[in-house]
Amino acid sequence: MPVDEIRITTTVARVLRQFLEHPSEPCYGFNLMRSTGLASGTLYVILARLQRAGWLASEQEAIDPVATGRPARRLYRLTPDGAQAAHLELAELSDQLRPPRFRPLLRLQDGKS
Amino acid sequence: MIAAKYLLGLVVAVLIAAVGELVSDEIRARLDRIPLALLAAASRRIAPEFRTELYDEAWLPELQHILQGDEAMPITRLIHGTRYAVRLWLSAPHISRVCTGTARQSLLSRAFTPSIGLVLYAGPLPIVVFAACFAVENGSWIYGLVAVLLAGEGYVAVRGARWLLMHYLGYRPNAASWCPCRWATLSRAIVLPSTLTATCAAVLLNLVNQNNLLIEASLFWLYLAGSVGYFYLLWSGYSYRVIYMVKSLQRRDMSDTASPA
Repeated sequence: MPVDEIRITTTVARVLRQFLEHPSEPCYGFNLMRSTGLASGTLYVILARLQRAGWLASEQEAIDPVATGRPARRLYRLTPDGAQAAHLELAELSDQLRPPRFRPLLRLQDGKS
Repeated sequence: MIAAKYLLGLVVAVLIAAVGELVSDEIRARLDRIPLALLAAASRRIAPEFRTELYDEAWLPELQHILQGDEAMPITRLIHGTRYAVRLWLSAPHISRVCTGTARQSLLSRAFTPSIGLVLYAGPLPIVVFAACFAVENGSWIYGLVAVLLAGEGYVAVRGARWLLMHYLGYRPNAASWCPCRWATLSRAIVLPSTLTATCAAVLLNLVNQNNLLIEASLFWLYLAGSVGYFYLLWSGYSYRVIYMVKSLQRRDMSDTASPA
């Protein structure tokens, strides 16, 4: 299923990169908060946007809440199309943000004089 | 005697320690509820159809994990849990808008969109004002002003009804679609406070003249019928939100059923 386009900001890119680090492993919301350094309010907006666009899929953790003594957490993982789109978008963003070849200012001034 | 004093001191010390521990437990239990209460408040800021998915299945289990995690010390877990809940409380409307696919309204639009408070206020308003107009023996310029302001309110109500019609026709709101409502919004910003002031003035004038507001109004029933229509228009303006919510749910159901195919 093709995914919708999404505006890739640097914060969205940080989240996507985290998913692409281990594409097969699902991520928890709190772990994503820690690894990306984003606040819960920012992260869940991005997750909702990615889910709505079809880049992410979510499911409940397969545990018995009574046995473990805690409710099942929500897991997020990239969809195959989402992973492909994320790769392309991050590569494009990386190209855009790559700095030009470094030229020391001092040498330029020397050359002018 | 001295032994008795020591014994008494020992008993008091034990009692103080026991009470201190009870108080400490009580405070700890109450402090632990702060993030949960904040998160519950955040859940009330999201669209009802997404509360289970967001609050029950995603946010609450994560908060429980923060509060019960292995490294959760009492103060650390309180700070982390509270920060988690507060940030979600702040962003809940935004998350809700992303989920429902609705656009953000401007502050002015949100402030002056027909609400329950407005409907309750503006619904009986024509009855009071027109009754006041016919109750006094000598007319006053203030009633003319009220009539003009009421016409402004009527205009806003008609715009609200137009919104309802647009939604019946499947018109989807976005940032641009608020523009036609701009005049209604601006007029409401002027009309509402002015109408309230003028109504109070009219009622006060009526009281000073010692006239009965409703009983002496000869055309009361006619204006009552007009007021019902007026109330309906205002209510229509308000109900576009409900209509839109239903429509967004229908769209969601349709996309859910279409996706497996």
